[in-house]
Amino acid sequence: MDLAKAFEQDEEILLKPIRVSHRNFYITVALLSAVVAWAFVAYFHQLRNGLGVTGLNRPVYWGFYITNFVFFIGISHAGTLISAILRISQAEWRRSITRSAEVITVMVIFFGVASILMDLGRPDRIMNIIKFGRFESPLLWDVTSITIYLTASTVYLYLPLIPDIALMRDKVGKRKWFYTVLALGWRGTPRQWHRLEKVISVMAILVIPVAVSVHTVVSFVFAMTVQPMWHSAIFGPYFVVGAIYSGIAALIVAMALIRWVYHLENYLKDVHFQNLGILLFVMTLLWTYFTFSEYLTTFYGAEPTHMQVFWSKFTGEYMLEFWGMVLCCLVIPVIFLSNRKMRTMKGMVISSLAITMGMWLERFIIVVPTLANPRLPYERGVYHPSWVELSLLAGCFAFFILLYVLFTKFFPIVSIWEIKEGRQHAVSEVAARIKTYLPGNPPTAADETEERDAGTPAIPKAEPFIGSP
Amino acid sequence: MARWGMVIDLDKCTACQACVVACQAENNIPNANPESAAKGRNIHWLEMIPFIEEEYPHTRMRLLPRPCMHCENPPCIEVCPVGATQISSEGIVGQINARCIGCRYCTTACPYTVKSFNWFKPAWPKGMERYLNPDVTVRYNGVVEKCTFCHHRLQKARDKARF
Ligand code: SF4
Ligand code: SF4
Repeated sequence: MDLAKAFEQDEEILLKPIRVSHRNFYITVALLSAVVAWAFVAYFHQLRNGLGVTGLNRPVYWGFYITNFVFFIGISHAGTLISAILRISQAEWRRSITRSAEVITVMVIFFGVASILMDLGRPDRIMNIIKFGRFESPLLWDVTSITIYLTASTVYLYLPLIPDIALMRDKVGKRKWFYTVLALGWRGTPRQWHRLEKVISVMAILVIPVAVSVHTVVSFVFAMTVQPMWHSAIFGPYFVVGAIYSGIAALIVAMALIRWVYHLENYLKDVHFQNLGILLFVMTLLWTYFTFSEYLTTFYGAEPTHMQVFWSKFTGEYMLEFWGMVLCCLVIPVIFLSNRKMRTMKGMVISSLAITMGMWLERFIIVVPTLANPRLPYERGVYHPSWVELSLLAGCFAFFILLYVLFTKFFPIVSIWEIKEGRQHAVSEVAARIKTYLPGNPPTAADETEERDAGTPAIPKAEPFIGSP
Repeated sequence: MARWGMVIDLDKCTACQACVVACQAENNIPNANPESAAKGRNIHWLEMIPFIEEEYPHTRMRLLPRPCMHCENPPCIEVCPVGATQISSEGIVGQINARCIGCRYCTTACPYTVKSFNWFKPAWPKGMERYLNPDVTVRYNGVVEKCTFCHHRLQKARDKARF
């Protein structure tokens, strides 16, 4: 049968990265590990000598680390959120992209947490947060919200992995014990499918408010103080929009790399990139709108302390970063994404890379100029990162990519069972769904039972995956 | 309950900075040096702030001693995740150095930028450790410190009044 052949092909192509590793893979891993090792050296240097080895000073108490924190938490937004929204809205094109998105979330969130740990003067006292934690402090809101988010998105990544892990247990010779443990005794019975689907849909709904709350409270760390250009009511939504924006960009870059390295042109198709590209363009405009509102209100209010910060961004010492951000987050994306001719694969990857960079600059431009121009007009600071901060930034990126690469070697980066499910049922299901949108009689109960009977009882996708020849 | 406050008569102040030196000595604040000053990392609980008033050619240089204001509703306390900075019933804003995790949230939240961070282990020129004030703990690497309103002197005065 055609379907069986297609299934076989799916399995073969999607499991190939797990079965065989190219020489380039080992080279990549070695290079990335070297950068990570260097970052560890830098961190131990800081741990031994104190935060004095950074470029921080008074009044610029926060710099690269806090910028990285906001940035990484922002990137982590896209994965789970996009995947959850696409699942809930039953967007059929989600099938091959959800996994790669969810992995970004789970992996990158560690670096958000790590950035905070790097920033602490006394990381050895981290347990004080539990011992003496005060919920009045926005930092505690962060700790709570990020912990929940990390847990929820890990579960949300793991659940849809189970059938694929079971498949690997049965079909991939390697690491059998590992997959056996992780598969949790998955046999693919209708009851198991039923449960899994239910839990996934509950989790998809659950993670959305958690995701939104995470970046809102990250913004509250700034907005709850009275410092000029931090104390802003739109910071919550502004940060959430920025987070989704940078997250989608990172997702596009990751997907493009996966497609290129593992030759998955047939699974991560142009249409997926096109859809994401349009979404990215919408986010470009939304982000621009928020940025514009934020700066316009400051400008019209023209409070002297605010204007100090304002001009330091527009024409002062942070001019380069500010206009760099405008170039990366507005000009380049608009050029490449706004019309179909420019929205090619290359154009999208270029603008996604630009946006990722631009959003890092945006976080920097929010954190540092305010601190460098505090309320009382006498203390002015300049901030230049030291080699330690630069090494740790590079280390975070390298470590993230390393974890991502390793993930693709242990688990299929495109969800196999969801593709199969799509092949088998989606077309008829969508056709039935469209029928209900149209005028005329809704399908009768009899029709429905008939359709159910066509598949396997209860949850139709049960039998073809596990245990089928 | 009564609250403590400090009044500085700016009409009488000659900006001699004797108060700054006295504060550094009393509270075991590490010596400022040119290298750390260039990096903006000197620790001062009380500091003389220069600022220029009016427009050229009628400019006037002013100097303003600035301690911690011991705010009535201090933003630095609100934000601390571990309660390492607290206000007493008499309105003195103190710092628990042994609990501070060094997140520097309070330093960024203070509208007067008066809190200081220990970027390195505090050090004194050789021989000066002998003159440290035994009533005040020496702070350590990685924590925030601030003006305590000399609460150790207050404590002593109270003991004296009791006996
Ligand atoms: S440290 Fe700043 S915010 Fe806290 S009491 Fe002193 S002046 Fe007020
Ligand atoms: S630096 Fe110390 S005192 Fe300040 S907010 Fe953080 S834990 Fe509290």
